[in-house]
Amino acid sequence: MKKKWLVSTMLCVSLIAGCLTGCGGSRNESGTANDKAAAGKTADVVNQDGFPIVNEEITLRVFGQQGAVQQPWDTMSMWKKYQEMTNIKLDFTDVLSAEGYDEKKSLMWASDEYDDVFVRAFLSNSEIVKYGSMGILIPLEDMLEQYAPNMSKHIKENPAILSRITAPDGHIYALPALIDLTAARDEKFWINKSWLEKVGMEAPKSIEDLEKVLRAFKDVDFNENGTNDEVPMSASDAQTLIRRFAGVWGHQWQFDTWLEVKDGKVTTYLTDDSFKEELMWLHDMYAEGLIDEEIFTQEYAKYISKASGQLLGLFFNQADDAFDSTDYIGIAPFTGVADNQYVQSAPIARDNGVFAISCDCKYPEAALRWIDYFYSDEGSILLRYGVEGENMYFDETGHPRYNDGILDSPNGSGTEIGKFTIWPGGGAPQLVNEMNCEAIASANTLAAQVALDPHVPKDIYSAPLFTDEVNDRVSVLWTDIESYMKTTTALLIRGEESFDEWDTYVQTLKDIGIDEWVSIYQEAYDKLQ
Amino acid sequence: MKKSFRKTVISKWQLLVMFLVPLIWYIVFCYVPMYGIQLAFRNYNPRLGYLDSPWVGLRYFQQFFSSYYNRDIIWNTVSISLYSILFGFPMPILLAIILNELPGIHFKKILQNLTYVPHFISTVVLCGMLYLFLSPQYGVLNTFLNFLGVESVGFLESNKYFKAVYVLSDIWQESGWNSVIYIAALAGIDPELYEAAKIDGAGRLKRIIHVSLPGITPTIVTLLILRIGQVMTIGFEKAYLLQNDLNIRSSEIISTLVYKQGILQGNYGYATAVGLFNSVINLTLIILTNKICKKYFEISLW
Repeated sequence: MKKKWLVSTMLCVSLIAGCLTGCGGSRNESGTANDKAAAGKTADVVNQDGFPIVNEEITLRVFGQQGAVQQPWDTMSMWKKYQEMTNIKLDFTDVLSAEGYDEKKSLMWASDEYDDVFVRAFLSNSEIVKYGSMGILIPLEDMLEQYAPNMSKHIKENPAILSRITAPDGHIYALPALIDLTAARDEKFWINKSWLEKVGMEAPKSIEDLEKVLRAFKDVDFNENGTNDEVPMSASDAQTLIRRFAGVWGHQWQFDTWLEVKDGKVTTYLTDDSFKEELMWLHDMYAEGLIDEEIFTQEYAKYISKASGQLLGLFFNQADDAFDSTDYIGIAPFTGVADNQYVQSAPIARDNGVFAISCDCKYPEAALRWIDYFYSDEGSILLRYGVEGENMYFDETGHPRYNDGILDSPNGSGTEIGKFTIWPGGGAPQLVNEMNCEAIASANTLAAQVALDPHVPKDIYSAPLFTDEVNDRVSVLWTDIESYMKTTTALLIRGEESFDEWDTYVQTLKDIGIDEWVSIYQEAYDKLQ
Repeated sequence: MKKSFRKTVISKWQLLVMFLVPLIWYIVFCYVPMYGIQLAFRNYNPRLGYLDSPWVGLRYFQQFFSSYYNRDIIWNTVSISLYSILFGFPMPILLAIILNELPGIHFKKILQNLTYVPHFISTVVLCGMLYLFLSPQYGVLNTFLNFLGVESVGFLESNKYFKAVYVLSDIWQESGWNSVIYIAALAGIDPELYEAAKIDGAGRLKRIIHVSLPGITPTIVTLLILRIGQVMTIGFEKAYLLQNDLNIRSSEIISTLVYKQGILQGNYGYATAVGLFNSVINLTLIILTNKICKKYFEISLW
C-alpha cells in the first residue's frame, strides 16, 4: 500500500515536471525568434534624431524603485512631459516601493517574465553580469554609437567609464549615472561653527586639535534645553566612521572597498598596523564618550534627525540637503597621523546599473535613445529640475533654478523634488554637473568640497565586474570577511575585546582568505592596465 | 488480497474522499516543490528553466563547506535548538503537572489562560518587546539591574546573551500553549489509579512519579521524536529580527543564511543547497530518534 502511494506520487511529479519543461522550452524558442524579428522592424520605426523618438506611439513597461521620498511615478510632471515629447508611453505597473524592494527584485529575476526596461532599479554588479550572461539583459555596446550619442560622447571624454561598465565577456549590459561634480562624490566633514565659537576654539586641523575640540564639546548644553543630548562626533554607522578616519590615516577607498593601489599593487589595509592605530584612537574617543553611543545600532533616519536637530558637533554627510548648514563649515581631513590624507571619493560613474534593457523588450533601439536624452545637458535638467514653468525656471544667466518654496520647503527639499522627478534618493539615470547641481551642492557644500579637493586621489577605480564564477568566490569570501571585520571592529571600539587580540584578528582574516580576496582584485586591476 | 482491497475501498469511500483533501495538499505543497531541489545542483537560469539550466554538480555544497563561517552557522542552529529542547521541552510537562495538581477549578483556569496567552503574540511584536525590555538605556530589566547597583547589560548587543534571550523568550511564549496537550493526556488517566495509589499510602510526589508521568509517557515520547526531527529548523523570523552586527556571530543560523543568499541576493542554487543539507540532517535525526525510541520505549511514529 505504502509503495503504491509512492509510485503514484512519483508519477504525478514527473507528469508535472514534463509539463513545465514543455512550456519553458517552447517559450524560449519563440522568444528569441520574436526578438530578432522585432529588432529588424523597430530600427526603421525609430527616428534617428530629434523628437518624437517614434512616430507611432509605443509603450515601454518599466521596472524600478519608487524611492522613499518620491511620489508615484505616473504623477510626476517629468514623466508626463517626457511621454509627450517622445511619443513613448510608459507603464509604471512594476515600479515598486522601497520597502522590501530587494526581495521583490530577486523574485522578479526568477520569474522569466520581464519588463522592457530597468530604470532606477538598483541593479548590482553581480546581477548585471549574471543576468547579462544569461541573456536576460541585452548587450548595448553595438547600439551605443548610433542610438546613444550623448553617452558615447561622455565615454570618449572619459574612457574610465568604459572600464567601469564593461562586463568580463566584453559586453555592456547596463548604463551608469555620471557624476561630473566632485562635490557629489564624497562625504564632507561638517563641524559646528557656533559650538566652536562658544567654546572659543578654532576649526581643528590636526588630530590633536580634534581631540581637544571634542573634549570641549562634551557635556556642554549648547541648545540649553536642560538635557545632555548633544553628541561631539557621530556618523551614520560605525563602519562609515571607520572609513572616514581611514582616510585620515592615509588610506584610500579603491574598487569601492577597503583596498588601495600602490605602484601597481593592490593591497588591503584591514590587517595593517596603522588600521589598528586608527581603531585604538577611535576606542579611546569612544571610551571618553566623544563618539555617539548609538552609532552601532542606530538607523539612518535617526542619524539624520540628530543632524537636522543641530545635535552633532562633527559628522559626515555628502551635502547639506538634510540639515541647516548655516552653523556648519566643511573642513579637511585631519593631519598628524599620516603623510597624506585621502578623501574616499567615488568614481565619475558613481552608480552603475541605473538603466538596462531586457530581452523581452521589442524596441531596444527606441529604449536606448529614450534614456540617452537624460545624459545630455538639456535632458539632465528635465530629470533634475522637472518641467519649466511648473517646477523650475531659468535665471538671467541661463542657469536652471527650482521654483520658490522647493529648496526651503519645511518637508525637506528631497521630499519636495521627489514629487516631480526621480533623482532624490540616488540611483537615477542622470548626469550631474556644475550646471544642474543646485539642490545637492549649495554654496556651503561647494565650499566644503574646496577643503577636500586636495585630498581626492588621482585615480579612482570603481568596483570591477567579475565573471559569474569569480563573483561566487568573491561573495563567499567577502561575506565572511565583512561579517568578521564588522563585529570585531565594533567590539574593539567598544572595548569589549582587547587590542592584545589583534594578532588573532589578523590571523582569522588570513584564515578566511583575505589574501585570496585581494589577489582577485589584483587580477582585475591587471586586466585594466 | 486484491478483492478485499476493492471491498475496503467501496465500503470506506467516505473516509477515503476525506483523506483525499490532505493528500492533495501534501502533493501540491510538499511534493511538487521538491522538484525544485535540483536547483541545488544547477546554475539556475530562469530563461532556460529548471531542466535546461547548466548542471554544476556539488559546486554550491563545496562553496558552503569552504566558507569560514559554516561551522559557526551549523553550531548556532544546532545549539539554539538543543538548548530549546533541554530547557524548553520539560517546561510544558512541568506546567501541566502543576496545573493538574492544583485545587480549585477557577484558579486553575485563570492560570492556564495566563500562561498560554503569549502564544498569540506575533513574532514581530515579540521582538519589538524584547528590544524595549532589554534596551541598555531604557529597558525594564536594566533599570532593575541599575537599581540593584549592577551595570547595564546589552543583552541583544552581544554574542554572549543572544541564545539565552532566544531560548528563554521562547519558553515564556510557548510553554503554556504546549502544555495543553499534556493536560489533555493527564485528564485521560483513570482516577481510580490515583485513588488506589492514595490507599497504598503514596504521597503527592509519589503519585506524580508513579501515576501521572507513566500515564503521559507515550505523549512525551511522540512529541520528543517530532521535536528532534526539527532540530535544524528554528524560527527564522525571530532570529532574523533579533540579529544585528554585534550579535551576528551567535545569531546567524541556517535559515537566515538561506534567506539572505536566496531571496536577498538571488543565489538560488546556493540557498537551495544549504536548505537541502539542512533537511537531510533533519530527516536523518528523525529516523535515528524513532529507531532509538522503538528500541527503548517501544513507542514509535512508524
